Amino acid sequence: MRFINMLQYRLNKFVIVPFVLAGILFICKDFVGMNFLSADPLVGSSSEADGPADNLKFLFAVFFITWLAFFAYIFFLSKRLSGMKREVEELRKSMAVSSQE
Amino acid sequence: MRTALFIISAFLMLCTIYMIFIWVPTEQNLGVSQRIFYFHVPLAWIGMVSIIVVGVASIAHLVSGDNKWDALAYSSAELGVIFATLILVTGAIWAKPVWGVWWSWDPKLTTTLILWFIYIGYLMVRAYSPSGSQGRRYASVVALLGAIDAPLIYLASIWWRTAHPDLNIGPLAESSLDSDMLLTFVVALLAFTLFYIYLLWERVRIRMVEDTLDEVYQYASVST
Repeated sequence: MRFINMLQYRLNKFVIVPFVLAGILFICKDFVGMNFLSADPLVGSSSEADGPADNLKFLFAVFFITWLAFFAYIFFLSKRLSGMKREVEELRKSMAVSSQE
Repeated sequence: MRTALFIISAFLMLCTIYMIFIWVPTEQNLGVSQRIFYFHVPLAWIGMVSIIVVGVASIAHLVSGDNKWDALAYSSAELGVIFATLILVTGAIWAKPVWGVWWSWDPKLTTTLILWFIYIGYLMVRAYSPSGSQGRRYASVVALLGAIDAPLIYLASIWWRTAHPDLNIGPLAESSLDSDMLLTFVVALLAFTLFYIYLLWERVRIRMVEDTLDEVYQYASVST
């Protein structure tokens, strides 16, 4: 039972990973105008070329990603906690059954 | 106590957001992108503190054998992965407008990437090594190696040529911040540190229940 729970838990994690990555890429694309394939390291500083309003996108991207990560972790903790509560409940039930027998 | 910690950190976070986006003056050379500093540096601070917590708790676990220390080390490592990932991501986003590239093999960036791999290595050792005290001891050794990396990250800009600016925080600071910027930074640092302590507290509690459940299952599998 424990192994199945762990397996489900790991499987869920692996399923979530591509979605999270896709989300981050989507956010970066929209907020930052990112293009990984044509990212040219020789291109000069964009802060010189662009105005301050353009750099605001970078600030918002940092803010958004930081809080997304925090909320995702808190969500993970709450899922873990509810999973444990379920396990404790199952243990209680199985103990009650075995004590009756 | 935990609720109070959460409320204080949430309040300080709101203050931080207000100060970063509205109150603090814009730096002349870097412009608006300099405000990323108030996110990036506190995250880096927590990332480094986290690995030191993992190292110290691992030593305490090796010496005393108390599983509470191990729970603290594991929880701090898990949080460390999140913070180390955020250091790298926010650093890359800041590097693009300032340096014109997302990534460079700068000593500070490279040592931070090594820190990220150490966290991942620690958690992988915990996940795949034998359960019980043996796996915990293996992971403690990884944590001790990882704790060496934290001062390297801080001192990287002194020891090697780096694109990072001079240190303006900490005992070896070579330049200082404007008073408003310093206040914003201190509030942000305090907010993130309290938030980290709150998350660590919660995670340690959950980890200890996980350990107890594991012991119950092991006991049940032995007795049947």
